[in-house]
Amino acid sequence: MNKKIIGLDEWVIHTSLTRFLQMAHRHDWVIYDVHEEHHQLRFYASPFQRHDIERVYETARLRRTTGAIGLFMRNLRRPSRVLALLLSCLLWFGLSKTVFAVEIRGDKQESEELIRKTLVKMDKVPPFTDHGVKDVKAKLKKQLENDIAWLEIVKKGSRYVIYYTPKEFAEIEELSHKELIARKDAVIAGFDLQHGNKMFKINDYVKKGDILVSNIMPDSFQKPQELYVKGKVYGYTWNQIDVTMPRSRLPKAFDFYQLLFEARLKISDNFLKGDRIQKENILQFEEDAGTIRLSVLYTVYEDISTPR
Amino acid sequence: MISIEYNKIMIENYTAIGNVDSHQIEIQTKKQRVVIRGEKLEITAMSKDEIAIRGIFEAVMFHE
Repeated sequence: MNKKIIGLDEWVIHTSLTRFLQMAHRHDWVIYDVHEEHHQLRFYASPFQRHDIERVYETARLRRTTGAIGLFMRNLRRPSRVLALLLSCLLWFGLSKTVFAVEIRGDKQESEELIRKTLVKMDKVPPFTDHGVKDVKAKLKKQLENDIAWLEIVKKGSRYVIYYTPKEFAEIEELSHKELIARKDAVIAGFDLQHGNKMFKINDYVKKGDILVSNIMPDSFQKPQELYVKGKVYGYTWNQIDVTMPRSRLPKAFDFYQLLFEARLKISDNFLKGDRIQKENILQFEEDAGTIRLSVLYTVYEDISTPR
Repeated sequence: MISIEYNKIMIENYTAIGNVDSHQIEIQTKKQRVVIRGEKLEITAMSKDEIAIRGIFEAVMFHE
């Protein structure tokens, strides 16, 4: 690296080149770029040799100090610069020890709120002085041991980023004694039953209002015992959907498909999970006075016990 | 040891410096005296053991 960038003293002396070089060799000076110009010598030497050179050559003139060392020394001579340097050091130290924001990352909103409230109780509301992540983490973990399964705090610059995983608890489902009643006429297609007494079997025809699964079952002494009822009953139902639209300029096939999709949308409008169109029979597709009509009979496999 | 490049000469383990000007430089090593002749000769760096010279070299002579 060019030593002038680091910092060298530039000297000017009045002496002969040969004599100067011999003197420099005798005193073990390290010198650079020795030039003879206008009956004077100019050379560069390390600032650490300054006193030695001044002692040997009293009339030597120090022109300047180059590089970073020169810049540093010039700045240190100005009180305003020294003050600015001190203030910047204080600011740097102060800012690096301050936390300005806390970010909480996780799945559950309630857990996030809980962590925030706990931080407020611990008096860790930004901006606050950072005394160490470990301390805050340990205190948070202890206070939230019933709600948070895992917690980690990472300091990123002037931010705390808190990662957490909430504790999961099993949900206790409460069973009911309410019977399952057919919402519409159907042929029983299947049962998805956990509790209850089935009143029909597969392929039985049921009417709207029939009790599909009862909450009463006779025991071995023929005494009625009340049961919990939980599950679903699936059946085949039949629905006719009629859709119309004005005749368009497109070929009839496009109109047909448009009406067909409209019909499918209509029939599946209030489908629950597990419901599906079992069969689709086109009853009618005709044009009458500029209006196209499509009638479709759908056989639908659906949950006939759950209200919609 | 003497290293010579295109326009630079480095002499290591020299013991003394003789006459120096822009046309001739004399350097004393342990065993011989080195005389460098040329144009625009200048000392680019000098320490206790090494000296670096730059310029247009015409001749490098070794005297016992």
